Amino acid sequence: MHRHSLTALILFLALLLPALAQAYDVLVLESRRDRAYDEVLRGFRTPRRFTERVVILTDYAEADIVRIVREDRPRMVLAMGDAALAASRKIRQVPIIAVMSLGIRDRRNALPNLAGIDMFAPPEHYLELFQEMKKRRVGVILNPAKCGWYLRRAQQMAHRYGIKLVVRETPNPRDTLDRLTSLKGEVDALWMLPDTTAVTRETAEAYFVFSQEEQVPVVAFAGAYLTLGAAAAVEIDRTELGKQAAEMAAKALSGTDTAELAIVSPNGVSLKTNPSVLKRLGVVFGLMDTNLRISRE
Amino acid sequence: MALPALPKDFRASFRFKLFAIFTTVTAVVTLLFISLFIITEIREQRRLAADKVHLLAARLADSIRLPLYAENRETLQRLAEETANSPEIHSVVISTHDGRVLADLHKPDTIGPDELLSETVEVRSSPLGASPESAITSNRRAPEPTLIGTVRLERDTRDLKQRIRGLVWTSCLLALGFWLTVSLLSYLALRQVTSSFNNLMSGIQIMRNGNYGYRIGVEREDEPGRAAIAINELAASLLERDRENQRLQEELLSAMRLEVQEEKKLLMAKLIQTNRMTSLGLLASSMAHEINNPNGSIRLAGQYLGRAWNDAMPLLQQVSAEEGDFSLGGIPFSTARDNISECCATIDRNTDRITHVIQDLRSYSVGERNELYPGVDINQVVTNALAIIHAHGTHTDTSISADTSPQVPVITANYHQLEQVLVNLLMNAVQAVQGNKGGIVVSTAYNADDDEVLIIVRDEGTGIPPEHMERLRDPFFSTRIDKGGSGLGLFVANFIVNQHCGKLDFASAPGAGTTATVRLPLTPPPRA
Repeated sequence: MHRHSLTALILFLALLLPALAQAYDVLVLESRRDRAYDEVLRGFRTPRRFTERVVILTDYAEADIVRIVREDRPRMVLAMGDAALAASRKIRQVPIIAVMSLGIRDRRNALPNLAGIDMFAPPEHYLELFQEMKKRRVGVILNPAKCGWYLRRAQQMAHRYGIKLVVRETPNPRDTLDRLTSLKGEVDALWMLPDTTAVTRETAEAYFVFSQEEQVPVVAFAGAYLTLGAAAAVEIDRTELGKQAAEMAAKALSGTDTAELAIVSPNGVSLKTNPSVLKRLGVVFGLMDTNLRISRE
Repeated sequence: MALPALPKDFRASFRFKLFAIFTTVTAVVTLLFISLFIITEIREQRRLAADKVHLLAARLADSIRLPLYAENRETLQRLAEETANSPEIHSVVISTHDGRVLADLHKPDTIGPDELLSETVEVRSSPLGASPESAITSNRRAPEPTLIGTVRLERDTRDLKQRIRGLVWTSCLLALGFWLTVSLLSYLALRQVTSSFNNLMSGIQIMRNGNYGYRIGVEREDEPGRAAIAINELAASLLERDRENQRLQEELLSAMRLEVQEEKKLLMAKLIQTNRMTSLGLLASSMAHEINNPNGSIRLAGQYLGRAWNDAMPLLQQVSAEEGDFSLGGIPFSTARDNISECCATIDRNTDRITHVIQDLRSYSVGERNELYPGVDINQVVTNALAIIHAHGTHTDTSISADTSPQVPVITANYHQLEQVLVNLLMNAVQAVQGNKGGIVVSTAYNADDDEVLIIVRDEGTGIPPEHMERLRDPFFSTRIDKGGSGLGLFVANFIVNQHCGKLDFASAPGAGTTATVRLPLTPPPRA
């Protein structure tokens, strides 16, 4: 009699423990320990406090996210970075909101439960900047398979700013240099997009060599390039990005379909400049009437 | 290395040794340093060449990063040609990370692989280059640059070898010049420094040849100069000592000459004395012959008178008894009766003694061997010797007494020789006590332990100085040579005692008299 009671108690506890583990709303997956992700998470926690569990992938030799989701049963997953997004590719039962990922739009078709915010600042910010710089011919190198959607959007808006985009398509990183060479004498400024084909660790230097040789400013998508020779950078505000993700998470948790949330552009961006490069290139502009926050590196 | 051309003196000189040591040490040190310099310089040249090739390769690698990534062969070829324009670069090879050669430039010279210095540098992505992924996160950790390809440069080292050869030659010439200069300067310095030594040594050499009057010139107040002063003082002292020695030697020679003359005089005196004794011997021998005949007649006459007196005695006694006492020769018969018998006995005894004396004189003078006879009474010898001394008459104020022992046994000896020994000892004793009013005692004794008889002559004279004790038995030693002494008395006495296998001892102290002891065995061992 007592033995049956003990067995029943053990079974009860075994069934109860998973229920106890499902005690949070958001499973936060970070690709690695990074201060940028901390900023995003800080913004994510600002508007509303979700119950959450944070898993950093680099802390594990091989993290089984699907099992964690199955056992923890979070209501949604916040993936930060491409590695976290890749680790979430087999999750189907809960919505996934991805941030800080450059390949988010590539996976959209494969993951119907995927929503998020891409890393492309709205093109009007760049175009407005080029206008202020009085640069009419702006060179762009990109892989159409990755950034064709953005190019089309930019081209639609460019004529409104009186700017002509001189586009060079490159399907291979090794061709980037040739494409850059072909832009010599053709452009007044160079627009560096977060295209992982057009910009690699090996070819990033070439943009700034081109800038020095052709005396044209490079406008990049991250402040990190200012130290390499970029004249200005339209950088995404990570805290704002977190807030924007929190809003999307709130909608997802409230039952909004993931397809409705889709993938959106970041709202908060800021302009960073390198005054030395601007002075060397003779670029003078004022953005008093723009929406960009300006800081100087 | 032999140095036959150099004189031995020069090779042994202080200057040469210092010069040789200094030049050898300088040569060794110079060789060592120049070798180290050459080795270091060769290594440095090789290192610099390697660094230069590495820098060229690194510069090329840096400049071809983008065209190599883009595999732009034209640009790579152009950059490779620019690098190969450097005359020492033999070849430039640019390859991708998977080994495909995109640029290969070789100069037409045929060079062995051992004459090439090869340097390969990897072409990696810029460490400052940021991928979009790292840029959007502002990841500040420097990513590991990715390998894009390699650049291999080969440098022709023939010019390097030629440069090293030139360096070796230049270094050797400089070292030789340095060594020669230092050697010349050291020689000049040594000549200046050692001139004092040479001056000192030449002066010492002159003094060594005996010229102590030479003085070394003092050039400077350095060590050799002070040594020269000291040696000059030493030479002066030696010169003074030499003169003193010479003077002493002359004085010694003079003294020796005087001493030899004195000795010669003494020797001549002794020779004269000996000659006199020899003459005396001859005289004694001739006298013995002249005395023996009358002595024999006297003895025969005495014996005849004795026998006649004995025959006449009964008649004269009868006459005296009948007629009374009568005068005979001026004295009463009763007195003359015994005196005449005694006179006859005295004549017989003394003539017998004269016979023996004459016989001894003859034996002594002709060197005859004196025979020993048993039954010699030592006490009788003493009595006779004293009688002779008394008869000599030179001891009128000296008391001579005899203390003979009746237990002394007779011995085997030569009576007259022993008598001569005793007379000599007594004569010496008498001469020793003259003026001191002391006495002389002659005693005899028997030593039963050693079975010997003793004759002891003890005087109360002046004694014998210790320095004379050892020479008492030497011939011709006498303190009375100037007073007629021959220096043969004790020599002869010792000789006679030795002939009897006895011993003659003296015990004396200055002022305490002298004791002469004759020890004679009862029976001397047979003579060889």
